Amino acid sequence: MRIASTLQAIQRRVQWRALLIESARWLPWLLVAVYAGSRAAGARVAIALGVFGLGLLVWRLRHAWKQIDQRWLIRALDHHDRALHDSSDLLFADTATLSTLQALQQTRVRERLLQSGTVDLRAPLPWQLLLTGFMAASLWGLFSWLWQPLTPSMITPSQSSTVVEVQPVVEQALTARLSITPPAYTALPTRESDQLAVQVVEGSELVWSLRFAVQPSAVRVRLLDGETLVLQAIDGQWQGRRRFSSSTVYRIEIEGAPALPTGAPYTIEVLPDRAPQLAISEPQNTLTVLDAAARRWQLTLVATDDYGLAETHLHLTHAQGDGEQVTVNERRIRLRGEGDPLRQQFTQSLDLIGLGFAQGDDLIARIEVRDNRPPTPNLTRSASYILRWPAERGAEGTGVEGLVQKTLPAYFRSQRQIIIDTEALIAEQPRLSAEAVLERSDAIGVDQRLLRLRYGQFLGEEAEEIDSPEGHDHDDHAGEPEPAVGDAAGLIAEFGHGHDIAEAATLLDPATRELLRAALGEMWQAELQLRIGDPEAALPFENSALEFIKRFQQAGRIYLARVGLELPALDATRRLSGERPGRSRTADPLADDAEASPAERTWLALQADASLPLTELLEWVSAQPADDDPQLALLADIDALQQTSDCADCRRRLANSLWPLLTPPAAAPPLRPRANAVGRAYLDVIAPAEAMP
Amino acid sequence: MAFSGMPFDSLLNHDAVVLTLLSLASFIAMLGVLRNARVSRGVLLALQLPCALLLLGALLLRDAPLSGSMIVLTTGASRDDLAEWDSRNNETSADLTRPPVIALGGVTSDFEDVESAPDLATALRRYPGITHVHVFGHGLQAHDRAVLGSRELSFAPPATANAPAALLEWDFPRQVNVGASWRLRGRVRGDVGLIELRDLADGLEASATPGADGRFELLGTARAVGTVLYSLRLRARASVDAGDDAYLLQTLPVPIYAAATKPVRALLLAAVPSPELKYLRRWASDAGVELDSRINLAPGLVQARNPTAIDAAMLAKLDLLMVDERSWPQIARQSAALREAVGNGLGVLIRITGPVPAAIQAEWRALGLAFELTANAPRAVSLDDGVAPVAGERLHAWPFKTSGNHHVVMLQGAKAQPLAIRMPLGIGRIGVLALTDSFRLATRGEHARHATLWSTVFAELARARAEPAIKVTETAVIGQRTVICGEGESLQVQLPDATRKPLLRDPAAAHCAAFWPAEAGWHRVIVDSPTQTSALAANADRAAPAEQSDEAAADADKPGTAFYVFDSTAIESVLTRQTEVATARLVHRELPPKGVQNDGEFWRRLLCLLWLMLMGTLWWLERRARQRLQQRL
Repeated sequence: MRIASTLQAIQRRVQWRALLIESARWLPWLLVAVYAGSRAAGARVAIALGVFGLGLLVWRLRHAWKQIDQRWLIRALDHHDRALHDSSDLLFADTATLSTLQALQQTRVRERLLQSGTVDLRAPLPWQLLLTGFMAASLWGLFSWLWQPLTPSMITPSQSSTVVEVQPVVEQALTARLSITPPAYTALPTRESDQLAVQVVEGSELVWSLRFAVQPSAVRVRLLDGETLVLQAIDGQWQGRRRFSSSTVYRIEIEGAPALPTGAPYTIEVLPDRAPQLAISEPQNTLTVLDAAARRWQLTLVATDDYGLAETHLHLTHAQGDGEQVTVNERRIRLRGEGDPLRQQFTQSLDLIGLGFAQGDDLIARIEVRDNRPPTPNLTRSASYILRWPAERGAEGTGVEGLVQKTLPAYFRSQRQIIIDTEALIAEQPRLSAEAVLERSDAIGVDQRLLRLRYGQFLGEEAEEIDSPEGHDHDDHAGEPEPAVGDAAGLIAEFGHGHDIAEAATLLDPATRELLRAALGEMWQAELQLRIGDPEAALPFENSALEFIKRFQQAGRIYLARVGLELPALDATRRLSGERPGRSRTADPLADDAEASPAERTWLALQADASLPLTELLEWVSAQPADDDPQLALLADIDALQQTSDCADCRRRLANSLWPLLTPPAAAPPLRPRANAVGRAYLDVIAPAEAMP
Repeated sequence: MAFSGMPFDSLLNHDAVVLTLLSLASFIAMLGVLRNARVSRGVLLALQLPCALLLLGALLLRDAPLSGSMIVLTTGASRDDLAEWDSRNNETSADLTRPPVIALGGVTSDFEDVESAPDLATALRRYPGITHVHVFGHGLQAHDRAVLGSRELSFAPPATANAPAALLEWDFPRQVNVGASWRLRGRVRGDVGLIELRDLADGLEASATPGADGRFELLGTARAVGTVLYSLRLRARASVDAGDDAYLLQTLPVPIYAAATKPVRALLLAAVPSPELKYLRRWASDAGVELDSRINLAPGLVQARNPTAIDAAMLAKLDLLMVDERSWPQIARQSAALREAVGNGLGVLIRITGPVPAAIQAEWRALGLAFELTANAPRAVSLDDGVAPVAGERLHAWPFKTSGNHHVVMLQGAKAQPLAIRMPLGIGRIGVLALTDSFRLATRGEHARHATLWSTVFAELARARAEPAIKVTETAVIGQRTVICGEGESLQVQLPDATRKPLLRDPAAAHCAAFWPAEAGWHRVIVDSPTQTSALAANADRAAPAEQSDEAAADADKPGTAFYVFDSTAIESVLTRQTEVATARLVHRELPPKGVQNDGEFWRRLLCLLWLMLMGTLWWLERRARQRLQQRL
């Protein structure tokens, strides 16, 4: 049956061609779909897509194969060759069942077919369709190759720019790895981060390894203050390192490739190394007063630090002696603690006898703790703890009159003068009339009164009540309202004195006050006698008052640390020339003449919708102490405004961040508003006629 | 139609009868004219109609009968209110039907079957002759209150027993001077544990616990010039983490506009140094006063920083000159210049530190200050400044008396004796301070009292240099009328989106204009004043940042203020309370006496007169026509 095999060969060839076309049409799409699936959603989805796609393809191929059946072949043959006389179906018919005519025709058709040799019924390859499909699938493939899904390992800034541009189909993407090496002394391990915004310990070194979807020609890390770090390409990875000691924000700039989408900058928050903490449990008070000799003085404290403690020292200051003869010894003792480097406990028992601590001495202890931060460790000093063994009383020194008189020049001068005046009056008394004596005596009495009042000020205002017309009792506190809790002024008024004010200071101890009170009493008597014109009777009281004053002067004494007098160097060229310009300030030195800080100027510019002095503000912020929390937020706000200057929301956020940094100005007395026309007319009417200009 | 207006219907019937009768009469008259008149028939015919119209006008133009009441439902009204009203009234009079019920704009949900009106004015137009308005709900809005006129009002705010905790009332300055502290007082309803005032950066500015009556007080300080939006947070109780939103009941915006202040420029002349001067100078430097001082240490030895001569030019630059009676001769040499300067606004403070010689008293009298000491030594006094006196508090002042018409006491003692007075002279003021030792307040630790005392004296006396205040409605709300008053050529409002709207001044209220805000946020009022150029020139020497040369910065120097427009939902509880209080206040207002003649009466009389004249003319014409007829017959 040659004819049968020929027909089958024809059919097979057509079927295979159909399979080829179908495969060529759909296979690129299937491959690209699998690839895109793997990019977008992972391998599992890709496999599922592949299986499903393959199934579809197989079904499609089977369909195409099946379509090329006997009927199709008959029609195709009839269509192909007119010489077959539309009788191709006879080729497949069983000759036995045919009529004679049909058999004849069958034979003719067979011969025709065999004569014509190979009949090519294959559909031509649809090149245009295939190429278009292939191109579209390739584009999709390219797109899915470039498109970066949002997985943690791949970072793209989330906010996209609002500027709509004709973007190339190719988009840039960034895969980052950040290696953070804390400084060695912290003993913290190096860690890796795939986030570009990180929190690091002060002094850490950051190493960026960036990988881009489209290789750029240069990559820089631009810090907020304008400093740039150029990254080096190593094996397709862009690498660079920098050490950070203060918080900042940065952006990544690339050249020679599509830019990264703009968005919020990356922050580097630097956690500073805190100074060590000291907790002193013994002694509990800063002043310990001894009543009797003690053998030892116990110090107990605990020091803690975030990364480790270094040395701890005890500073001892031993002040010995009295009056002018004070000698001071200082020594420094290194303490040995127990515990790990992060928390150490110290117990030091001071041998007072060994130190030579005696009555009248002060021993001042101070602890200094350092941590292990190189190059300059953080230092914490404790308060001064004083151990005092008070001296016995009554051993006041003498011979320091000059010193005391220098400190109190105004008040300690004229009691002697009054005595001299009184003695002169007594001497002249016989030559004077009684009225004249009374008058002069009264004048001296007035002087005596003034002097008494001045001394009275040393006792607070108590001595002054003598002079007030309506006396009142200081113990009579009835009817006085209780000062409210928290009302500092009221508390001071009730219980104490404002020691921060020179005039209100209570410098005298009770014994000295008693001396002064005795002196005032004598002065009282002297004044009385003088006022009634009896200077001779007054003289003993005056002398007695002088005696008390002398004792008073020697009693009250304050010791202050001796500070060297450091005068500015003398400018010999200007000396005695009489020229003051440039040397004397015309403004009041108390007045705050400092210019508005950049924060204040930025605030004002924000309020006025003016251009912002961002560069100055940045410098100013960087100069501020680093442990301010809002600093990083402020830096981010500044960066946002550097990117887009007309962003109302950014301006509002910057204003909010600036607010705590503004220093409120002094509350000035309010000015009255200018008078308007009506007010002026009124004032003109009531103005006194003769007084108007 | 249960609530349809009875008076209105009967009124309509009345008018219909009158109209029908008149038309009939005029028709009959016309027929009569046509039938009988032979002469001047056209005129007679033509005059019939105006005559009828005039009479109709005179009859119909009458005052609406003043009777009847109306129920007005405002936000917060409920069906229970109506039911209660019905039960209450049915008890007293069984046959009384319910007056018309109107739901004003905003009340829709619960009252579909009730007639609604956008505002009270519309409701009153629909029902003329209403004399009594019953208000249910939270009360009438401002525009409804304005149209109430002389109608009686009955209103009881809804019970708030189960209302949620909220802020009811608040009071705080909308504009403060920068650096000065300001106070927010308020009252809350319900169980509020903690009230916080937070600043722009969400930092805690102040916090308070409300008292038993719900009242509280918070203190804030404006740090910088400009608009600052604080926020007030009501919490059920204090949470450990303050930044947390736990227990948060309500958050309200607290807008404060911090205005810049100009420093006072003062010169202090003193004959002797004293602690008084020391503390005065220290306060002045703390308060930002540009104080220059010249203190005589000894004859010919002056402690002075700027020894420029005191002349007219220098006085013109000063705001306040402080002088004591012993240094008065220094400036007495320049008395003409001084008088001129005070007339132009300079303030002078005379500190009495000792007896005043007669010659100096005479010089003061020439300035209009008749001053006399009544004792030869200072007396102990205590200040009457609202602070409870502390035991041992003793200040001293020279007793004095002054005679004059316009003397005002600036400070007075606890026994009402004057310690400081002031008198006007031209635009300026002259003050006398007889207190000798205010420094004792500072040395006692009462720095605040010392500062308040001197701040008061400076504020009263120093040159009036501040820009006239621009007044804006305290609480401006979206869609509600906001009144802005400010002197100047033109008023402009800058909206939050930086566009500007010029305002039309109200011719009835001088310097005021109304504004209906459309969006919430900060609005800036800009006043173009004719004196502004001179004010700018005077400020030219002030340190102005070099960058601020653009237009916006130039505007910042213009006199102006900023006000915040609230979203009514943000401060709903406060607004509701305000409406209730304002409506309740109207209940007890004084109503004008009834029966007052109104404008309608005049027109009616005029129409009557015209009708009478026309009728006279008609009568005369008809009479003449009749005569003619008889003559012809």
